Amino acid sequence: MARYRQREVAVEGEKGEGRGERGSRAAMRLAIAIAALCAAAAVVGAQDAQQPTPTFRSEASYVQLPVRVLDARGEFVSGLTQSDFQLLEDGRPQTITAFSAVSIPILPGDPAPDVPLAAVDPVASNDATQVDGRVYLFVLDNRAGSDSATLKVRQVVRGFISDRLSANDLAAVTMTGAGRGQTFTRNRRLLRDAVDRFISDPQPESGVHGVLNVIANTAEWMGSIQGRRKALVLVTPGQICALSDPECNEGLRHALRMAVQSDVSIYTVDPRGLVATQGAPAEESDRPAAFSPAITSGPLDGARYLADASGGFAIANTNNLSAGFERIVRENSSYYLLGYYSTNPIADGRMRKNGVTVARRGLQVVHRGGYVAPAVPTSAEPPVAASVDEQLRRLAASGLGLPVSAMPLRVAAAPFLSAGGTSRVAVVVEMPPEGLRPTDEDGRYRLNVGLAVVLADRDGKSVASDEPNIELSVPSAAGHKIMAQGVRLVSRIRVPPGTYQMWVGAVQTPSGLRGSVVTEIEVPDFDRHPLALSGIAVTTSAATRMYTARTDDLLDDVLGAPPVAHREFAVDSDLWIYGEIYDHRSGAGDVTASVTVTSTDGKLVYQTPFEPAPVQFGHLGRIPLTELGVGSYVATIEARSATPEPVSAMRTMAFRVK
Amino acid sequence: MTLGLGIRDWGLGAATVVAVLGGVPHAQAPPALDDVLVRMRAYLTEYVRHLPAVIATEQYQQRAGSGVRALRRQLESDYGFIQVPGDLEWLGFRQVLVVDGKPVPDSAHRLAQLFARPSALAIQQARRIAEESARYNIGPIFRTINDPAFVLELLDARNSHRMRFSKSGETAIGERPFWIVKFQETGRPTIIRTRDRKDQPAQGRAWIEPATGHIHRVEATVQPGFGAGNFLGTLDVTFEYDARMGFAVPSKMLEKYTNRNLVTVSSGEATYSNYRRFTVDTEDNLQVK
Repeated sequence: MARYRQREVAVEGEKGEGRGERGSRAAMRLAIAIAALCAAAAVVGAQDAQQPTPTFRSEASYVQLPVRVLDARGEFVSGLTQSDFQLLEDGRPQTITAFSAVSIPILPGDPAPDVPLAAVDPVASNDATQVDGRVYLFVLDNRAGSDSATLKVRQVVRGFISDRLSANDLAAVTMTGAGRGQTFTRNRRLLRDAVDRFISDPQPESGVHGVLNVIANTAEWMGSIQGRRKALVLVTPGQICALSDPECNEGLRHALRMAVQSDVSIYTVDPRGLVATQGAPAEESDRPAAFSPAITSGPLDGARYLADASGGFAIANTNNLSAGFERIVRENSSYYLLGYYSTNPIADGRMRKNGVTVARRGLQVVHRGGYVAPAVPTSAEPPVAASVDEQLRRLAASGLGLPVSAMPLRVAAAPFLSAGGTSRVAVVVEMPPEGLRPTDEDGRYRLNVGLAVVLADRDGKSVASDEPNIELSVPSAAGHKIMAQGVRLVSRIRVPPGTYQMWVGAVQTPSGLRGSVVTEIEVPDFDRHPLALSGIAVTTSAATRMYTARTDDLLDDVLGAPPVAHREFAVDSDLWIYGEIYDHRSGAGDVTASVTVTSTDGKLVYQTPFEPAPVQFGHLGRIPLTELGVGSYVATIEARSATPEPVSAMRTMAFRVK
Repeated sequence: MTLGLGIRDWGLGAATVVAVLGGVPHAQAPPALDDVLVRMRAYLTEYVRHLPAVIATEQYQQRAGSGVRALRRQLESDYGFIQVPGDLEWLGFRQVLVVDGKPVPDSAHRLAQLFARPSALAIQQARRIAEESARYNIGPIFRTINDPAFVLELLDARNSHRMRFSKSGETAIGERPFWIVKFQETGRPTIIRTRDRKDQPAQGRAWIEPATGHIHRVEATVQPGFGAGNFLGTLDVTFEYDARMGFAVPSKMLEKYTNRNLVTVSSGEATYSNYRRFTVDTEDNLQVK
């Protein structure tokens, strides 16, 4: 009888032990109104090696006060110590419990190249604690009223971005009404693009209250950036409202409370310059008045009130805006940060005056006049008993797209070519351990997180979404390990090419802890480019330490580990970058691809080929971080071909090595 | 099953082989596919007659995984293959001698010694050596198809009833015309099966010289099923004329295993040199299991 040896083929073992797809809720089509306002999401910032990061506690009775000390020439006096300061609240001495001398250098160059949105690594976080430079949030008041005023606003803010932003600064743009802003970034091009989207909206539905709410909400969120004074630059052609108006007064006080609590100084800028007649700029004095009254020096002006009381100042009725801008930069570069616990524990919501003196003679101390004490909370959190879906809906609808930072989230996204005219966007969501609230009962850790990943169009309408649940129930010993590292999930969403706002929300049960992140992503039409580069996915050998509840098999296979959302890596690890190159040219020359790494001063520090990966279109680059050392860097991934016509495609990724 | 089999040196000169196998027929009308297949099978039969057992030095570079999990391995081995008369299989044996530049302890050329003094026990011992050497393979795929003998087995006359052939094109290699003949395994059970006995039908292409039936290259793929853990395995073996052997012998083998995400999870490239011939004495009885 004829026989033959049975040859065998088999996959040895099951890969990816300990992970697997958890249940996904039935499609929950969130009608999410992600407003154009998107003043959120911190970009990785580099910690200045010479700059210690002050640690300040965030409690209701805790007060933080930035202080500038100037000599007779108006120059900042450095070298003072905690013992040089005396601090008063309503005339009573307070004990300084935290002290830091902040000196932020102005760095030349631009660590984030001026690349279009399509070339940017779309990462976001609601944990904006890693910032080393100045922090600016431009709030553009849409009630500009005329085309010329609109143009003036654009011109003024563009000027600040071009001339005043340092390489280590973060900035964001938001509008009080219509118009899509820009999340925090170092990319000046993206900031300028956002400014150019600013349009006039003289009759916004939300009116003055909307303006004040935006100021309050953004100021509140900026509080998550610790150890820094933050600048909210309100560009408004005219008054916000008069203090004498009781409703306005209430809104102003709320906005001020949020600003002071968050160490946000408000700078109000009237872009019109000198105003010859009431409401009209000098150069347009022959035209009928179309603007609200100019910001005045009087105590009744709401804009000036916000500026003065928050520790900022108003730039109004002057054509020399540059001097004011320079002062903003100066004030946010060198200062002392004093922290204390108020001896007045009463939560009465009232204004309390601060006084600061220094022991040396001839010095001028500049600081905000005081702060608004916390008030007894009047609104309760949404009931925990509400369903996860319902809580996610509330989360999405609240805050006009502002991030909610109670539960830290980190997000990264990468679009890849897919079939049928769509792209596949891999969205990595990481939940760091500090935000996880598992239950520990009967020897088991249980974690339940409802997630929603939504890509919305420019009108805030959901185009595609993924709503997975993470339901984890493991023995306590294993759960303890998982909770020590955090949890990751990779979502995959198909969308047609376009620019999207990506909103990621998470709700834990039963704790009710919530978090959300919003950022922008451009999904290119890969088929329309002769040579195109996909988004990039990155990982390190340490990525497997974090529990991955659901991964992307393809990315996992080619990277050898789950893709990560964080852009901070240990110096003793290797960084792996994956991307796909789509060459639609026929009979064209070879494509060469490389990864180059530059430091913050623009110096080339590493270069490696972007080599073919074992999958169609795929390429991989490895960066041994030990060769870079600790610091902040930008990796540029570029594919190019010289023949028959020079073509290239590029992506950038900012990252930090610690 | 008992087979009469032995090994001795045939001592055939290169000129003899060329005379027997290398002759080109007179120009005539294009042959039919069946004619070409008959010549190919005749060629393989001659292959067995002239090279029943050979051993070569194999340089085998393996790659597995990607990114963080990327692995590479360089193996230097004795690789021998033998076609057992009366049996359907071509046996390939690999004894790894050097791994990533480091000699394997106690790795004398045992395979050559066994081929030099063949016996039933020798074949069994060769199997054990090959199994020992398999542990140096890297990657998530367990396989016994990564040897050039496998592609010859697919095309062997004794498997012809399991295969469907079709001509898919013509090409030239050097100045010699070749047919590209597709083959697909239709018989069941299949030659390759998974550990849980599921059929893995093979298909592929063979570059065959129509006038002589000489095989220049065989590319074989193992069709994947559906579901987790399945993959597409590809083996691509190129044959080149070896003057010492007087015959076309495997010169290069490429292997690749692609998962359901079309990611290559394992691949390898082997080159062969320093062929030594052994012969089979059919008077001995060997137990082949």
